Amino acid sequence: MSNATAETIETVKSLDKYEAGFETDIEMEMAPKGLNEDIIRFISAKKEEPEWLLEWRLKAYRHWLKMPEPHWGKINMKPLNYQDAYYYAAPKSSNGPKSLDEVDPKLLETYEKLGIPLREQEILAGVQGTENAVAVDAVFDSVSVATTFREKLKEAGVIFCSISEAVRDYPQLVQKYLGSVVPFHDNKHACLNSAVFTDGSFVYIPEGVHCPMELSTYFRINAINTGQFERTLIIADKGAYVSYLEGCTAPMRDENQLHAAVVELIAHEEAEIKYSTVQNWYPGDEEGKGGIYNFVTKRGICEGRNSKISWTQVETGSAITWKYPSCILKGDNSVGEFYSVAITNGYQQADTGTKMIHIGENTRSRIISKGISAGHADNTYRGLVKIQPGAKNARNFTQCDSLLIGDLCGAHTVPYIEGKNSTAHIEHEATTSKISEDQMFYCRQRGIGEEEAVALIVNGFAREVLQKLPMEFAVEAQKLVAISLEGSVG
Amino acid sequence: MAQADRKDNVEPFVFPVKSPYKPENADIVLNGYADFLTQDPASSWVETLRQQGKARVEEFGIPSPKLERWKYTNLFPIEKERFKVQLPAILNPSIPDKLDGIESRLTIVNGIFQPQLSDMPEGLYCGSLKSFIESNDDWLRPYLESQDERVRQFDDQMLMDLNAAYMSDGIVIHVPKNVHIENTIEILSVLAGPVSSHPAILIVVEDGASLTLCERVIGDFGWQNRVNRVHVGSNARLNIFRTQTLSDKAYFTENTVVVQGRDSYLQMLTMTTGAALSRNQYHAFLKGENGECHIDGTYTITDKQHHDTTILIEHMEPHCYSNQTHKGLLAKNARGVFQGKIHVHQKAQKTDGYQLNNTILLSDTAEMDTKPELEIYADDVKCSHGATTGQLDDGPLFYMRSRGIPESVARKIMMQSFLGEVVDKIVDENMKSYCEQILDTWLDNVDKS
Repeated sequence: MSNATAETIETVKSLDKYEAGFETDIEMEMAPKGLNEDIIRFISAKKEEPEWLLEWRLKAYRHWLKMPEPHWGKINMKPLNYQDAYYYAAPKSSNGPKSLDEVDPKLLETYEKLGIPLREQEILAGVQGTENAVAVDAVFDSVSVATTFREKLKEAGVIFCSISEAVRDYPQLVQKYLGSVVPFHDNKHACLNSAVFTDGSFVYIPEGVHCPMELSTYFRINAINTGQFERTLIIADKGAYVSYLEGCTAPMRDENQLHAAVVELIAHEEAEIKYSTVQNWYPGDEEGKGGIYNFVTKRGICEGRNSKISWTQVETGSAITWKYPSCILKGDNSVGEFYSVAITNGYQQADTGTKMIHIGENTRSRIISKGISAGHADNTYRGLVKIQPGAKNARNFTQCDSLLIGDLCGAHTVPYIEGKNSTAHIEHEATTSKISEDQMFYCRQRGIGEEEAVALIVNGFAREVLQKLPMEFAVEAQKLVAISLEGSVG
Repeated sequence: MAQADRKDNVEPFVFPVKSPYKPENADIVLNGYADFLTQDPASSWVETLRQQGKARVEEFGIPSPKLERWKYTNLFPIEKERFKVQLPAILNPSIPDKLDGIESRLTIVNGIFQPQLSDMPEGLYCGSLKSFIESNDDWLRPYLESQDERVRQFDDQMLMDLNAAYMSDGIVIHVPKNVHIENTIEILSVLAGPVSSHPAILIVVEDGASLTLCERVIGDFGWQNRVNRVHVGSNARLNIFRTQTLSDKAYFTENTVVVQGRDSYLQMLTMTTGAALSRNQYHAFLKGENGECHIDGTYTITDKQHHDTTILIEHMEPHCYSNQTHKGLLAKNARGVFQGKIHVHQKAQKTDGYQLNNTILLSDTAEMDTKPELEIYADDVKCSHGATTGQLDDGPLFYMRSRGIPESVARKIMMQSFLGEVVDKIVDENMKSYCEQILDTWLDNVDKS
């Protein structure tokens, strides 16, 4: 902790507020602006997709036209103009992912700059053994540009590739699972994603395999006026284990860009999926201009007995976050977890939480949500815990804590608790407070500056969740927490 | 997304908007409205209030589950009954004796004040709303009008509009400045006959005054849709203890609007065991510094009963304290709903808000839906809430059984102590023993069947 704290303090001093805000100048291939059936056919043709997928996209699009905009969130935004965006943007040089040597050096540079080295050799040659390495799928605007360590993963039987490749190479798997957890008509943003999704990651862990390394996807929005619509599908077969991490950044721009992703997780009997997110999309400038609208549908199903899905998220970016990673606990004894830190500063708005649907017997879920609000930001926890009549001895524990920094921000808690089984235990706790004067005084008295002290206290506040992140990212996340709060004191 | 900057940009889509309102229901609740007007013409400003209310009901109908705060409660059973308002001649239903230790009681039957069944207390102004309207309208008018405006910011207050449309009678209690009323006053509200009634209760406790009220709602049939307006002045004190023990064929919906001044104290405790469908909705506005507001309740329901408590506490000034403790037992197919919200305005620093909802499900077919909400815009506050749903703990049950206490007795002891936390808050001893008695009977019956 002390090491990380020292690092945190250093970071606060040395770094710019949003270091991922640069733009890569690269030749892009774009679909015409706007959204209609032709655009969807264009995307589908670009990806050389089978007929069934195109049909599915069109079905989703036609349904989307009929769906009203969701207004229930505690979000204040201008209505979206869906016609004023590009739905497909790909670096010209990249015709689908290929071997790393052929990837445009400009792209590799971009990822390097973001701290995501895509060159396997360097990692292999490094001090670390391969066991600690992380396989990365890099998604640049609409396409996946590279996926590392594919060969090594293949040896273990793990499929890790972009979803476009999966559609081509493993059509049965994709057809079976795509839309099985988040149907295309689920909500307006998921529906749009089903119609126009361009890329994302596909992971399949076969029976009994413990995935040998961390898998991760790095999403980058680069082109102007584009929307990013990626789709991630992770399937853990019987007894399999996988830990997956996603990270996201975008350049600084005055326009709002839309990011509407769908993530589906399927855990079979005895399988475990750990899904971590470090979300750092561009949050807009100090006046609240620009930034990414992050409207994401994430849902996992614990299909078999004794399965487990764990969501961990650190949300520091985006002008608006609208995201509810959920678990459907269908198998008996299955476990769902949700750990979240959401930090909003400036004019950011976050409306995030989870849904835990208990269907099977002895299912357990745990929700730990830490919301931190500073500046003019609004931070809302919105969650649902639902115990179905058949969920005997189900257990849920929910804790949502909010921390307010400054008197112009807001923190809200909106939990829905629906219990239909008498043997179930549901507990919910929520608190809202500010950084206490005692804590501040203690730090200041020992010569710690005000901002550093806040960073220190906030890191302590969020530690319970940060500890759940994979080792490499926990340190990263701690730094991010400090940076996000910069300028909120004094 | 960015504004249109290209000429070839087509118009954005117009998405269909699904209305959460059901104006077609207005006819059901306004059935026989013309008769009501001819039977009971009113003075001009009451007429205006009625027209405003009626217009809104016609526009929006009555609340449907599509509205966020009506998500868990459907008024369809009430619609199905097609109750009409009837303005009877003086009714004389059989009514229970006064509670022990109570000298004065105000009685309304089907929303109409009954002077022959009432004993007027001394030292304060009170009586039927109708007589107050007729004699003293200038004083009354702002209370009936302005409080409604504040609540109208919500789009789901059609029951309150309906009450206004049928504004006719009710009870007014007005405690003048610095007057302390020592004796507890009882309000008895009787539902007699399958009709709907829409009484308005206005309680004004002026600065520095104090009052304790007990209320019982009893009856076999009908639907009461009432509005309570409670005004607690600076440094004033008001305790209200209520029981609602209607039969399971009756319906009860109410809206309570509370406005509190500086250093004021309000305690409002409601025990619900009756009604096929009941909803108690509270809006409390803490408009002065250091106000203290307690809204507590128990709900013990069984069979197909449905109970809903919806609370919104608005902390508008610094240093206020609010507390809600709601506990319930749900047996058989009962369904309970608790929606509590604490809203702390930016100005309301040093707020202390607490909210607790515990429910025990006694059967697998019972259902509890809880939504404890916090909406906070001030940073120096202490707000927390807790909610649990579960069953009776096996541990203590085993402890008692192993010491020779029969299971039924052990269960009863546990349930009593569970509700005890709320019942113990009743400071009026007579009312407390009355409440304990009601719970006792309920607990005896629930385990038998």
